[in-house]
Amino acid sequence: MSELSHEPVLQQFPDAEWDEAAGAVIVPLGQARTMAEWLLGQGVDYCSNVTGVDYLEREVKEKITNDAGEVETVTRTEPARIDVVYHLYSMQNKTGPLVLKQRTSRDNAEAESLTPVWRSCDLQEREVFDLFGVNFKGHPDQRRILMWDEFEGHPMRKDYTEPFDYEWEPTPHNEILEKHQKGKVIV
Amino acid sequence: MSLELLIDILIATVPLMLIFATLFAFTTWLERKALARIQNRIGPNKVGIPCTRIGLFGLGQPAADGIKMIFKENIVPRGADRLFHLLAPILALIPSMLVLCFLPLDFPWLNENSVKAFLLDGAVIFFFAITGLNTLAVFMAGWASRNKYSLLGGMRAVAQMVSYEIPLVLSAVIVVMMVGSLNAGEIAGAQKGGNWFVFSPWGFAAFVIFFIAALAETNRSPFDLPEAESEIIAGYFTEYSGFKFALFFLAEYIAMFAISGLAVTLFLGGGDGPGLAVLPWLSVIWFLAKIFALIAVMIWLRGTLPRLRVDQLMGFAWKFMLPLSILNIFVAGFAWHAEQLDNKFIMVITWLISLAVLYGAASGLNQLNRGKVRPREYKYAE
Amino acid sequence: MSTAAAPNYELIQQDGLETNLLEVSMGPHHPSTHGVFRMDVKLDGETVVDLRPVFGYLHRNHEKLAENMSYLSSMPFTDRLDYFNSMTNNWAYALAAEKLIEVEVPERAEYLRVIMAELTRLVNHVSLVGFFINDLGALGTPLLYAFREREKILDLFEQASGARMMCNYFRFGGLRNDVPEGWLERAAKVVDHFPSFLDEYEQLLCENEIILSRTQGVGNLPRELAISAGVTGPMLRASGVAYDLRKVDQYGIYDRFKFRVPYTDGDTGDCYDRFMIRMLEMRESIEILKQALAGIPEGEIMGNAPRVFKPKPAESYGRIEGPKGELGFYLIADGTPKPYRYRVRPPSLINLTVLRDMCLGGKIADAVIILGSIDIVLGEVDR
Repeated sequence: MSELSHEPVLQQFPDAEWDEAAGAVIVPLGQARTMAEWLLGQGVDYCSNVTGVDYLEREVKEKITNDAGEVETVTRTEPARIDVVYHLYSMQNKTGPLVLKQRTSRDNAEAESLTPVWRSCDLQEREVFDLFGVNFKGHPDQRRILMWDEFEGHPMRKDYTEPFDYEWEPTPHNEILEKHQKGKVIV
Repeated sequence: MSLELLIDILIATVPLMLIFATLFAFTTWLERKALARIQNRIGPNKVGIPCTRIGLFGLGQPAADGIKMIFKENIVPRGADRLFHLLAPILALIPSMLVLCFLPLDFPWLNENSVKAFLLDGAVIFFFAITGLNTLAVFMAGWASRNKYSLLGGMRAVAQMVSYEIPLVLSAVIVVMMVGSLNAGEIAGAQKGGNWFVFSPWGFAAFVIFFIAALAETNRSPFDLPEAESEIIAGYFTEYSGFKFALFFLAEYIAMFAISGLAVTLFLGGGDGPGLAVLPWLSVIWFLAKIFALIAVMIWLRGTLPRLRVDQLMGFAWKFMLPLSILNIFVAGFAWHAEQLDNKFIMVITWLISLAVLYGAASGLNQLNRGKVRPREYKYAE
Repeated sequence: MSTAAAPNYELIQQDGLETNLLEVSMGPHHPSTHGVFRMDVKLDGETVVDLRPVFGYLHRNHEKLAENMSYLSSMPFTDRLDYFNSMTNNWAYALAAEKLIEVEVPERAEYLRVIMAELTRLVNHVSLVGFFINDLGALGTPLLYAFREREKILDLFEQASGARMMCNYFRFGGLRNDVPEGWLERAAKVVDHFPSFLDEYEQLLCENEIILSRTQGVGNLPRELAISAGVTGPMLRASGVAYDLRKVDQYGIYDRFKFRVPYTDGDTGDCYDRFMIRMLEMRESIEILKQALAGIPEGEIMGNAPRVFKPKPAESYGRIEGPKGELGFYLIADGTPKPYRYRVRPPSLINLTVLRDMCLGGKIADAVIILGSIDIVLGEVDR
C-alpha cells in the first residue's frame, strides 16, 4: 500500500514539525482543527486510531557531535507531556498512514477535538479523556466511557496509584501513598 | 341442589379437567422433544421412572417440572400490586378451562342430564366472549409487575389479541352461516360423513385464517411478541416465579387446546372419522387426535419461524386478514345460496369461481402489503 | 456530522392527556446484548427516541497490564480481547511487534497463519449469522445448525494449538508449533463440507419472508457516515465501500491468493446487507482456504526472532482485517523488554459509534437486531 506523504502537510503548515524517530507530524498549538479540515479536503477521510501516550519528566542521553568534531553524550531533560496520537488513512485513495501528534502538558491537559472532522474520534477521544485526563475542546459529549462516572483519577497515567479499595477510597492516601512514593507499590 | 344433579355435574366436569391436565403434561413433553429434534439436539431423555436409571424418553419430565415449580419461592416485586399479581394467572386460567366444557366431546359415560347445561344454543358466541378475558389477564400481569419490560409486553399483547379477534370471529361466522346454528353439537353433526368444512374453498380459507388468528390469540410463535425472549426477556410474565408461572403456562396450553378444539369442531368435523358406526366412543379419540395434529403444527411453526415485529403484525391483521375474511363471508354467502338451488353444475361453477376469487384476493392483498422486500444482488471487487 | 443531542421530540399533548417517554435500560443482564453491555433507551410507545450505550462493564485495563509485562507475555491476553477470534488477535499483535524488529517469517508459517485466520473468519461469521437469526426470534434453530460447523473448526484448533478458543498460537516470527500429522487433510475435509452447509442455510433463510421484512430497511447506514465514523469490516462493505485490508495492505501473503471482496451496490447498507455480506464472505474465505491448503510448503515455522524481545526505540502500528473489522495494535518501544505504550484499536467499539444514528426512529425490536448486526464482542469493546 502506498504511503501518505507528510511533505504536503509540512508545506501547508510551516509551523508543524516532523518527528523522524516516530514518523509523525507534530501539530502546532491551536492549528489541529484547521489541519484536520485541510487533510479531509485532501481525501484523508478515515481516522483509524486515536490514543494517548503519557511521558513523565525524564532525562535523555543523546550522542551529538560538538564543535570540535567529537562525539559526546549530552543529557537533557525532556519535559513531561501527554501526546494524543492520530493515525489517519485515506479510504478513497487507499493510502496511509499519516500520524499526527498533539502535544500537551500533563497538568491541565488540553487538546482540540477532531470529532467534528472525523466522527470516529468520538468514542476514542472520550477514552483518552477518561484514562489520561486530556480535556478535548469542542467534543460534543465528553464524559467517562470505560470507568464509572464517579471515578476519580486517570488510570493510564504513569504515576497513577491504585487506591486500596475503589468503593471507599477513590484516591490513595496515607500508607498507600507513602508506599507508592517509596517505589514499593507497582502501578 | 339434589345429589343427582351434583353427581351429574361432577361426571361432566371432573374427567374433563383430568384428561386435559394429563394432555397438557404430555404436550409440554412433546413440545420440548419436538423443538429439540428440529434444532438438532435430543431434548429431555433422562427423567423417566424415579429412583431408577430408565430414561423412558424423558416422559417423567413434566412431573419433575411440576414438582419443581410448586416448590419454588414465590417472589413478588416490591411495590407491585399484590392482589392483581395473584389474580392474573388465575384469571388467565379460568376462561380457558371454562370453554373446554363446550367442545362436543361425547364421552360414553355421559347421559342426557349431565350434559344439558353444556348444550348451549350459543356455544360459539360464548366461546369468543369468554376468551376475551385472556386479554385482560395478560394486561393485568404486565401492569401488576411494576416492570417496564412487563408493561411493554402487556401492551403489545393487548394490541395483538384485540386485533386478531376480528378475523377469528369472522372466519367462524362462515361456518355458523352455512350450518345455521351456533350450537357446537349441531355444527359437528352437520359435518358427519366426511364432508368437513375444510374441504370447500371458502371453508379452507376460513380455516387458514382461523388458525393464524388462533396462533396470535394464544401468543405462540411467530406471534409471540408479548413473550419475546430476545427483547423483553419474558414479557408479561417476567416477574412470575413458582406456582404462578406454572399457572400461566397451564393457561397458555389449555387455551391452545380450547382454540384447537374449536377449530376442529368448526372446520374439521368434530369427532368425525372412520369406524364410528361400530364404536361410538371412537369419536372422542378422533377429536383428540385432530386436536393433537393442530398442536403439532403449532409446535412445528414455533421451531421454524422467526418473529414478526409489532407494526408488521398489526399490518398483517388489519390489512390482510380482515379484508380477506370479509370477502370470504360474501363468497360463502353466494355459495350457500347456490347450494339451495341443488344443481350439480352450478355447484361446480361456484367452487371454481370462489377458488379463483379467494386466491386472487389473497395474492393481491399480499402484493399490496408486502412492500419492496426481496432478495438482493451484491457486487464483487477483485 | 457531529454527534447531535437527542432531537427535540414533541410529545403528544391533547385535552389533558399527557404522555411521557418510557425509559428502559436494556441492562447489562440481558439475553440479547451479546455480553455485559447496557443501552439506556427512551421510548415513545415502541419508537426509540433516544439511545445511549454504556460501556465499561468488562474493562480489565488490558493496556496497562501489557505495559508491565514483556512483549510475549501479553500474547495470551490478546486471545481474550475478542474471545471468538483468538487467532486473528494474535496475528495482529505479532504483526505489530514484527514491525519493530527485522525478522522474516518462513513460508510455511505464513501459509498456516492465513489458514488459521480464514478458519477464524468462518467461525466468527457462522456464529454471528446464528446469533442474528436468534435475535430475530427463531428460538435457536439456525444457531444450533451453525454451531455444528463451528464445533468442527474448533476441533481443528484444539488439535493444532491445544485449546479451542484461547489458542495463544502465534509468536513473533512464526508460530508456536507445527500442526500435527493429518491435520491438513482433516482441515481440507472440513472446508470441503462447508459450502453444502452454506447452501442449506441460504435456502432456508435468505428468502424467508419474515426475515426479509424484518431486516430490510432497518438500520440504514449511509456511506459517508460509515467512512467518517471509522466503521470497518463487513459493516463498511455493506454500506458500499470496497475497502478490505487484505487487498489494501496485503499483509502476510494475501497477495498470492485469488479472492473477491463482496460489497453492496449502492450508498447505504441495512441489516440485511450486513447479514448477506457475511454469508458471501464465508464463501470467499473457503476459496482462500482451498488455495492455501493446496499450496502449503514444508519447512520451518519459526523465523530468527531474538530470544529476548528488546526492540530499539520505535513505534509501529500493525493492523489486520479481522472478522469484525480492522484490528490494530499500536506499540511504542523504548529499548526495554516491556512496551512503553500498548494500544488495541478495537473494531467493535468504533463500529458502535453509529449505533445511535441507526436506531433512532425505529422500534425497540429493531434496536436489538441492529446491535446484533454490528457484531460486537464485549471483550474487545471494553478490553
